[in-house]
Amino acid sequence: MDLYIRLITEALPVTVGVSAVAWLLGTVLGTGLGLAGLSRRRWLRETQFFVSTLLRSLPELLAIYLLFYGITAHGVELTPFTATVLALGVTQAGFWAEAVRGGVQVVGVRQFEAAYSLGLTTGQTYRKVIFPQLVSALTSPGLNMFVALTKLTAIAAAVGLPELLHTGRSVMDRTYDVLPVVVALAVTYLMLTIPLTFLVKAAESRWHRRTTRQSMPLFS
Amino acid sequence: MADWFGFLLEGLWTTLLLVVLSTVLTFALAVPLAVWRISPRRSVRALSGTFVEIFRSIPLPVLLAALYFGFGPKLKGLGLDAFELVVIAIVLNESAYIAEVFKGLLRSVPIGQWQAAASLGMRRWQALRLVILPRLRRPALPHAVNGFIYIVKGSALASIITVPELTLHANQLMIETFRPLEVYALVGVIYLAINIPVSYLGRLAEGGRARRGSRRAAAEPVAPVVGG
Repeated sequence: MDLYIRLITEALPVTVGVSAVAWLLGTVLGTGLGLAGLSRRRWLRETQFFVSTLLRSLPELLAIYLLFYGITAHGVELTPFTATVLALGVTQAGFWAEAVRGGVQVVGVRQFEAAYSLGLTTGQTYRKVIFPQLVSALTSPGLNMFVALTKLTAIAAAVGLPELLHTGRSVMDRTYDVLPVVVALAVTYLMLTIPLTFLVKAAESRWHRRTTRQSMPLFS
Repeated sequence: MADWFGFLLEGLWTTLLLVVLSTVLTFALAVPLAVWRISPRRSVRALSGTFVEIFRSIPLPVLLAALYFGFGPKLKGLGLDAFELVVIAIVLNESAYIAEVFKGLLRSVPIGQWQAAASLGMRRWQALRLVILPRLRRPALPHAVNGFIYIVKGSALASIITVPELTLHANQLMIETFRPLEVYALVGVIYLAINIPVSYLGRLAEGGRARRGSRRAAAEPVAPVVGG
């Protein structure tokens, strides 16, 4: 029983901490990258798509190895925590950039045109027209990213970060009592992600109702 | 350097085999799962929903560890080795995730299309095959590309349970050469060489957005940010 207490009290905070910091990093980097993809300059758009593709395509496990063993071998000190957070944050930024870019497009070119025709500057357009809509459009993908990150933290076990999977496996190795540990792990992850999935669903239905109501006349 | 390549290529072969097998099986399972998710029968919906929620929520590394360390000895009795366990884990995880995305697409089809098909005397599966699924081919494409990329990235996890694929070969090479930065960078490039062409092909297959697109908007539809 104390094994499960250890799982919850020691490993769970690590898992949640890694996902939270990586989520913050991914959101900040990805938002910047995504907005770059909306530039009027073609080369900037193409570069953004290439960089996003690059980041999305790199296996997270390899990104962690690259940072933890690769960079560290050349004199930069990285803890397993930093390496994991960096690797996950940067790879997820690629996804988030595409979500932001897609979200702005969902908000629609017409909104930009309408704002310009009202004489708003680009800054005002973003602040007063686009961002408020973007926030509701990006709530559910943002929560989804958090779910994804929570699950991805499991690969930090490979560099010895004492998160859920790593702790679980060290318990297994000591006790040879495999099945209960696996079940406990699965249940812990389910408890972490299922509330988030419900939040996503709630956000989605709310957002869906609002946008369909707002945009219906456009298509009639 | 030439030795490196030869050794990594051996691993790449296993990775590709893993990816192709998992991709085929994943989509073969994801499409019916998505259809079951919107079944008129409550029991079918509930069953497929439970499957999806469970396997979507368990991280792939945990699923792998559970299958290999937890049930491995029992499954070995059935003649399953580590390679097959990885395929099973990826397929369970990814098909649940992709099915949920496809379910969203199926729901986006206006009810009128179903009614029109029914009024022509089609059965449900005929309506699906002849009317509904063909029109979803294009919107499904970016999601399918995403799914493929997740599978490629997931295959790297096979190294944890010592399937001799690309990442495991990279690890062995790293131990032999003590040059982690070069080895992992090279392997990163190999993974990118698999994923980037597929990503661009997907954009291409969606068709002439760059040509048709407006000044501001010039790219693929929203790709949801969900992990595999």
